[in-house]
Amino acid sequence: MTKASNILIVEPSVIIANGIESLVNNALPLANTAVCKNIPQHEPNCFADAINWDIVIINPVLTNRCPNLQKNLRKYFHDAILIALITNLYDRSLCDMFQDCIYLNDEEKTILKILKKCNSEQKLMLKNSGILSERETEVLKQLVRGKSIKEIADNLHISNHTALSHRRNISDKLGIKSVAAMAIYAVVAKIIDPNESLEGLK
Amino acid sequence: MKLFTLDTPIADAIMNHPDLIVIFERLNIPLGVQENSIQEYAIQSDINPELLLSLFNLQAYHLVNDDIEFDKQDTQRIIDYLKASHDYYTTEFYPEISKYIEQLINHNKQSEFKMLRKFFDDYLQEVEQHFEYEDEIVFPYIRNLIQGKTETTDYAVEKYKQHHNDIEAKLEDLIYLLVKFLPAGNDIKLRRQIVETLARLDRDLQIHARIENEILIPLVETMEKQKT
Repeated sequence: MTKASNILIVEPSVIIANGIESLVNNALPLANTAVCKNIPQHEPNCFADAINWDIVIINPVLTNRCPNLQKNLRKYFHDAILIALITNLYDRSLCDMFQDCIYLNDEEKTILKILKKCNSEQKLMLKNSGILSERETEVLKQLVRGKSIKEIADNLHISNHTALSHRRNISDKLGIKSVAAMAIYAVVAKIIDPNESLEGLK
Repeated sequence: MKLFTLDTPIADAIMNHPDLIVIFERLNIPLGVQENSIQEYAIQSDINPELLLSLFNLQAYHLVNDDIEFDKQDTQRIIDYLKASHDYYTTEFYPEISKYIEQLINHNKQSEFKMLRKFFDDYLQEVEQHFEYEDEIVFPYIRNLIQGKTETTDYAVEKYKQHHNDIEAKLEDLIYLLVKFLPAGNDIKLRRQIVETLARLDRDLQIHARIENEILIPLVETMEKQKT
């Protein structure tokens, strides 16, 4: 039994917000939803921390008014899938910040499809993050940062032999042998930040 | 599973295992096999029937029969076969996969897909270097041995055994990433195309490596012993 998703809708218009909420309930009947008109600008963390949001559907009009907020969006909702709720005309690059976009004129079936897809992606991510033990995750982080087995052993105060056997277990569990492929897994599973890994590989 | 024999009609074999067709292109012998058996067609095409049979069983069933003794002319044929396979990979397979990867990147903007492209580019570079090394160092060395040239370098084929594993492992990693881990966009058709192509390539490369490791290298080792 997988846990129900927590979905946050951040939208200033009550009509749109309630409309989206009803579509979410329709697409994902088990999900817990919450609606909020705005991100409290002075203390955005207070509600980001309250619950681990799985999916956040947010109208970029809110972040556009406050550039800082836009920059920090990923930080507030680090594990969540972000969907833009687009009610205005923007430059297309805006969409790159989000995993997906819902447009005001989208058909119901399009929106349901996006919601279902994002929900299953989120489930997959949670499942991925559970594959490796805490120690293995630690070893994986260092491996993909380009550390040698000896360096990893020193950093984690374990023997070379143990570090090697962690590496072997990671490889067996994931079915992946090369460090470069492990780095891609680590980004997908949100174990490391993508920018960091691209540097580490070079 | 019924292995092919020298008497198996070639047309029947190909109808049951269409991927045998690559063998003809790589040996540079034409189709239009009519009712000929493997033995008959091999003789007509001036190739050792046992060699053609071995390639058939390897391609279709992944089986190597190590009782057969091949001579120097066969060794030359095998090298030509491997070289033709390299050309096939580099001019057909890899460009096709590159094209798919490019489409995948256009479809999915997340950074893990950018990393995937880098992973593939690095892999491709490694593969090209490996083929180049075989075409320019290993195969000429073996040709010299076949022709009995004494001025060959002190290179020994032993050095070359290690090379294959890494390439195969990375290809499998690529398939795993696409099937297991990379988040699905609206790209199921494209994924199917990439995975199918990669799986075909993986299978062919495995056979390729077995021809090198289990047929070619033992032949060359025997020639090296005879030389000393």
